[in-house]
Amino acid sequence: MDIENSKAQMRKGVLEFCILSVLSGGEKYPSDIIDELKEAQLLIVEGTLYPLLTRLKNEGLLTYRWVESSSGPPRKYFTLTDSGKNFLSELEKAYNQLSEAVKKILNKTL
Amino acid sequence: MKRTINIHLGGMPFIIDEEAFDKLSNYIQSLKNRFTNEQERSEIMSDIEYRMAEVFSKRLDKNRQVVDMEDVDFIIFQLGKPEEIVGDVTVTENENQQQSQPASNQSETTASKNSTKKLFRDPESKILGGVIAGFCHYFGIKEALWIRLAFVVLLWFSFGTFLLVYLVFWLVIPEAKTYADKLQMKGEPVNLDTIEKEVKETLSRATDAINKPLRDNDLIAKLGTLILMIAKGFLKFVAIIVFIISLFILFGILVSAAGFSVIGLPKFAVFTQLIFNSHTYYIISAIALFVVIGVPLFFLMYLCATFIASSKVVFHKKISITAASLWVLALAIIFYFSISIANNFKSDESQTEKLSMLQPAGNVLYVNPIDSVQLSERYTEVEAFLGDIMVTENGFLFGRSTVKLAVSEDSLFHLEQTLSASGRNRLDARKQINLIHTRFIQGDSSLELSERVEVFKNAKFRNQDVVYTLYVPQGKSVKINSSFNLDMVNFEKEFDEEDLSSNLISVENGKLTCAKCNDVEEDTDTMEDEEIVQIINKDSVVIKSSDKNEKVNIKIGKKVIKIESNKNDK
Repeated sequence: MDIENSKAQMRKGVLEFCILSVLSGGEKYPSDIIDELKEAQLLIVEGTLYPLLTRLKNEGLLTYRWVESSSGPPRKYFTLTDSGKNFLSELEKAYNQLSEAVKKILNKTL
Repeated sequence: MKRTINIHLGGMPFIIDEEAFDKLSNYIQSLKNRFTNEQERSEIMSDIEYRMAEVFSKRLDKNRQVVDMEDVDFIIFQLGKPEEIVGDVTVTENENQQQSQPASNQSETTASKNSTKKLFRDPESKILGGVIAGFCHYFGIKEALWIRLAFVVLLWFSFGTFLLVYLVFWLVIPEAKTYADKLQMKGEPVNLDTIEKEVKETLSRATDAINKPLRDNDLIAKLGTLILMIAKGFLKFVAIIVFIISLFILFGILVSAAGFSVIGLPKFAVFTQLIFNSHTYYIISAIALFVVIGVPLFFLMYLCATFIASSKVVFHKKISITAASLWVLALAIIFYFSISIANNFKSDESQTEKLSMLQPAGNVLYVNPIDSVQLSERYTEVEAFLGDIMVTENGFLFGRSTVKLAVSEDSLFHLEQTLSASGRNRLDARKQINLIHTRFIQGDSSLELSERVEVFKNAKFRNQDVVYTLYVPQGKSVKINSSFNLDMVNFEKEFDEEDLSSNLISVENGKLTCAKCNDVEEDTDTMEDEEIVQIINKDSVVIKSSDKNEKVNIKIGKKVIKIESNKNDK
């Protein structure tokens, strides 16, 4: 078993959930999302974010608008759509259950 | 001092130095290759370019206006190498696929990691088109020089044919243009590290090249492309001609086959029955023969067509395999029939029979063919006529009967007939012999024999032959009609065949001879005895000629010509 691979798989599973969570706080553009994810040490390389955002958008969970920027190129600001919000709340429930379950098991073994 | 390039990323202009540009463009290219989903790729790439633009514009200021290697390294570090991204991306894609397709998700990623060698022309170490250099990379030969020398030798011995081969390779094999191509050409895996290595190598070569004058290279390159264009045009022209010729041949075969099957087949069918055991076999082998000839023609046309259309010879796998297997099948059928037909000729048999004949009234016996009027009576309807074979209602006729003369041991004429034929085995051959039909009619001083080999209906062609042996007594003569083959085995000497048919052949002193015939033998004798010798010396030429009667020497010197003649009086 490759430890890095296992870690990546775990991170992968929660990454979509986290992106949606970050966006639930309001409209954000990729750089903000990256910063937050990096702060939480969830994201190692930025390149991973862009395919995910595109996919979530294509599935109708996110939407975006262009915003002019004074210092650089225009930015894409992403927000959650209604179905994105529903999706997120479903994920939250599932995550909480999972987290409880994992905690229980960890506590027993400890 | 470094050269810079103007680019725009995400709608913003940037100035970037050459080295950094190469690395950046390769990085972008390798990212593109990693995103397999076509629809999402362009959107992802534009998002990434916007991000790059943002990062670069943050890093640059009034004092530093050019994007350099450090910036590119930074952006690659930030965004991640393609391998690092790929791991994450494909996992999500696999999860998607797993809902619909549980299996077959690993193959793509593993395949993309495997490095396969590909055949490219190498523009960097080329002399002419880089074909040989490319082949050397492909087969892992380090020193191209020897291959080039071998090629030149081959070119010489093949009278330039290999030049054509070379040109074809030049046209068909693509040039290694991108860094990825060059890596594949060398059989190295395509990833960011190897590309970077390749870029650095190319740059160092380029700086070397800058020190040399560039003009010659330019001229050679232009000349090369010019030759290539001419050669391409010429080859296309050839391809068109080959296509048209093949088309005509194919068309011709088809039309004549169609015409033949309507007009000629009923009559020809009789002939095929002579050789084939059944008409169906004949039809099958005719089709097979057509396939054996037609398929390569058709395939050639197909290749020409692809070449004319796309400047490349395209081997479509399915078509090639179908054509090849069809061809092999047809060839096998022809082979099978050839063998089964040849089998019918395996065993030879012959059968000799004495025929009782009346002695002629005079001293001369005239041997003539059976009256043609009677023949046409017998064969009321001549069904077909092809070459030497004649098919009639009752059977078929072919070839010539042979008349063989021999000296009679008593004072009477005797006649013998020998029939021979081939067959699968001895029994079969004998059966075929029994189907041979011979007749003879005797007059006062004439003997009429069937001059052609006649075989009853339902017999097959089995090399049937008829030999009449006529024993001629001492002092008597015969005259053999020219319709027969005359066997001269027992003759005293060699005679001219035409002479023999127009003169009497008689037995004198226990030997077959032809008194009035020209003596072929003696003519050749004198020729054989004659001898001419030429001697060419430093200052003279001597010609010596001699035969039975005379010896002549001619000597041509610098001043004198000497002619000597000696008669042999023996």
